[in-house]
Amino acid sequence: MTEEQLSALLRLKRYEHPPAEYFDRLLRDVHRRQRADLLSRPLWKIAVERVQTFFSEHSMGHASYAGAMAVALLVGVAGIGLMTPGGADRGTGSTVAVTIPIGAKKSFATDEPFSIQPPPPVKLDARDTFASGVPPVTGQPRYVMDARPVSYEPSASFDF
Amino acid sequence: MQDEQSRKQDDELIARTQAGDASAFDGLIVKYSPRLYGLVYHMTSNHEDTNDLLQDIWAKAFRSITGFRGKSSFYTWMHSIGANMTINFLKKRGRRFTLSLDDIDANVQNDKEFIELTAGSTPVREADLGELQKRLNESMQKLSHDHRAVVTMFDIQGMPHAEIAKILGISEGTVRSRLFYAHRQLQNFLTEFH
Repeated sequence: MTEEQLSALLRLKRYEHPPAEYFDRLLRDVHRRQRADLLSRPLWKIAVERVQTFFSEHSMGHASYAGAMAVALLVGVAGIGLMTPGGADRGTGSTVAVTIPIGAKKSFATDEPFSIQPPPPVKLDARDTFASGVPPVTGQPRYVMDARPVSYEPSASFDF
Repeated sequence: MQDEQSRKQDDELIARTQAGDASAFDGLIVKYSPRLYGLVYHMTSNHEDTNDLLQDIWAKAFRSITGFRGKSSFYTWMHSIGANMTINFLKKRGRRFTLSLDDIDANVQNDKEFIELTAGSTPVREADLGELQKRLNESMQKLSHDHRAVVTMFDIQGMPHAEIAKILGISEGTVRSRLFYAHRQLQNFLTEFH
């Protein structure tokens, strides 16, 4: 079989058509499909498909397409992270509890400069501690992570 | 491939669809479905699969049309969606196919090339139309999906190399080499026809 005969044979396949009424039915089927699609497709799938279509319109190669998709994904994740309340500085801040020295009943005056002072040195004596019912206090600043019930702390009074 | 008037008509329908007039999209479906049917059908050789795929293709096009910026013609864009979705479908489906020989257009009997092929002492003189189509479809199915796509667009649908290259996202050189290889393969498959 020659090249010309083969080409002629292939061109004859143009005459293979569906019945005339087929395309009317196809239009109805597409309408039905569109309605079903709108009801069932999640938003993110539609977004991904639109991105794919955008890149395919630009005739990008597979490698560059994959790279562009990765960049788009990273930008999306970063964007979502920034839009989340407190997302940007999460993990960088720290919580410091201001501790009031035991027995410091001094009231604060509004005109006095506020300062955080280290607690006075306390002699560690287990007998005194258990006798008074007050938990031991170290010279180091304490943080909220201390596993000590708040009720053990003497309450600070703020007399203005 | 498209004349200016046809392109203007497409642009108007696309703009209306993008503006939210879904009925304008029907005009595009009516206009392009016959050619898309040809593309998908000659790649799958199965009417039911073609029908399902056409619905998928148009549904996808409708969902994506807001992203269409007219960098290529709508015809190229639609064929690109159609060819890629069909190739993906064929990769999943495997080699199953059936033939729908009843669908052939009776006008083929009046085609100049058909008359030439079936007259005189040509190799296909004795073959009737059904056998001719059957042989050809079987041979087509033996080609790889990529080669079949190129043969369908070039030999059956009459698209130029440049258009096929755009649709498939490959170079014109690759289109030519795939065509050359596919023709050699088909010629080998059809040698028993002599």
